[in-house]
Amino acid sequence: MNDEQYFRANAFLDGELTHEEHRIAAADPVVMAEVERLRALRDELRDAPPPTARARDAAIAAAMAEFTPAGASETTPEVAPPVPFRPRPAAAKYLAVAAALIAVAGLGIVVSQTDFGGGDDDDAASVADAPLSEAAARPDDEMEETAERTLEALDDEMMAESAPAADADASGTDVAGDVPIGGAADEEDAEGDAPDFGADAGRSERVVVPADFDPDDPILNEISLAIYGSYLLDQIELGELGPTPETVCVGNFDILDTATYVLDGDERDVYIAVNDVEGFVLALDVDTCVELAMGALF
Amino acid sequence: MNSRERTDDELVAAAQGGDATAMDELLRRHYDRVHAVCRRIAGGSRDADDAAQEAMIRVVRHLDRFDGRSAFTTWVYRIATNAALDELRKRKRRPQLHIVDDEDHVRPELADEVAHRRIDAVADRITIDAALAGLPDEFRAAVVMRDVGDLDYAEIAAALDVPVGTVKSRIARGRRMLVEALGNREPPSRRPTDDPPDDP
Repeated sequence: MNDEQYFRANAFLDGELTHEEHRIAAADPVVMAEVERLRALRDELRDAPPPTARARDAAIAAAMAEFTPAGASETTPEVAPPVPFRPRPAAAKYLAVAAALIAVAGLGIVVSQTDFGGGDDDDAASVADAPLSEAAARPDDEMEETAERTLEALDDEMMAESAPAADADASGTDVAGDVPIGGAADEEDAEGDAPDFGADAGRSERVVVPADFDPDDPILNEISLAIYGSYLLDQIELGELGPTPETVCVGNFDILDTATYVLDGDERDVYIAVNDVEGFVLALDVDTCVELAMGALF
Repeated sequence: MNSRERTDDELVAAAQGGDATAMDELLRRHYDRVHAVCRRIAGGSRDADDAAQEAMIRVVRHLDRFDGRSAFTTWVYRIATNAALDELRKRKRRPQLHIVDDEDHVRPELADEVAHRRIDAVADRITIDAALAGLPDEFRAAVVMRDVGDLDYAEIAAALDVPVGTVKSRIARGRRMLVEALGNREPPSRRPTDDPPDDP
């Protein structure tokens, strides 16, 4: 029997042939013999031991315990493991931005002490000894401006949150108001007011995304998987994460993106699943949802 | 309540609206097949019980996300398949001594005709479980969804999010691997009772 006959036998059994193909298959004794063999196999597969009444009742009772009569939509929040990914609250972002500002300010102080004094808006004129090559490449006034804009944005956001009714343009800047740090995240976070930044307390820093990281590059190992996960969380914090893939993979994580993972030399399409509470990133096979690799976020 | 049996779509709509009776009926209607799918993918009956229960829970939790674009059965079996694969993954992380059927406690000393037939049936079951266990997960899922879940190629393709051609190939290749693993034996009804089970 050749492959064509074998595939035809399978399709015959499955009722997936056209009328003409069906006629040809039915006239071929080799195909029909294979159909009988496959049918016997199918019968064996179907002859699975039935569930016990106890297992059935227990399963349905457990499932119904999740049901909220007021409406199925209210059952969505997962009760068992704390799965849902929640965008980090503003306070965590403040901390992150503040840390960045401290770093920038520190850089400015080092540079200014080393070299020139003040001057109009360019007190970090010398960048030759700056520890960050990227920073060195950037004009100082631009750095300063960035820091100022960030500060203003931070101020605005904090003011807006602490006094929502207050005038939105209190700072008088046109930059801060457009920074989408809080808006989208707040909408998504409507279901859970519980601050989750506490989950980060007491544990080490999240994996740092290198400056030359390219999200289009294939993921090569658990370390680059962790970096990818960290990058996605950064994107969320910045409000820049694109649409997440639609998938049926369900678990103690949120699927944020698709990517290519190189496993044993083979490029595999994977979902990138992140649990920022428990601190892991998974690469899941897009066909089966099976976990191919796991990286640690912290 | 209507005397006629409500369709899946009607039950889904009612359950989404908060009707607990409809939800319960929906779960009971599909539990056995969900369990069969889980049994064949996950292997052991305890794992199948766990996976089927997890599938039922996921159905309830996510029913609001079911938008009716696919048949409810497709959606449910997709969830069941994933739950079973998850269970399998968990089991692979656990140490295992050997394959057992934890429901059928075979007692070889019961040497009568009925006992022999029962032993033989259990041997068949273990054999096919072992053969299934030897398949790659994606092949096993496709074969089980087709042969146990009775989904057509298009539904399986939708459920697994792969092209129909891939489904067709996985089913055909999976079945071939199963047949090879099981050996060239006769169908069960005609198979001699003392055939030793083939391990893959």
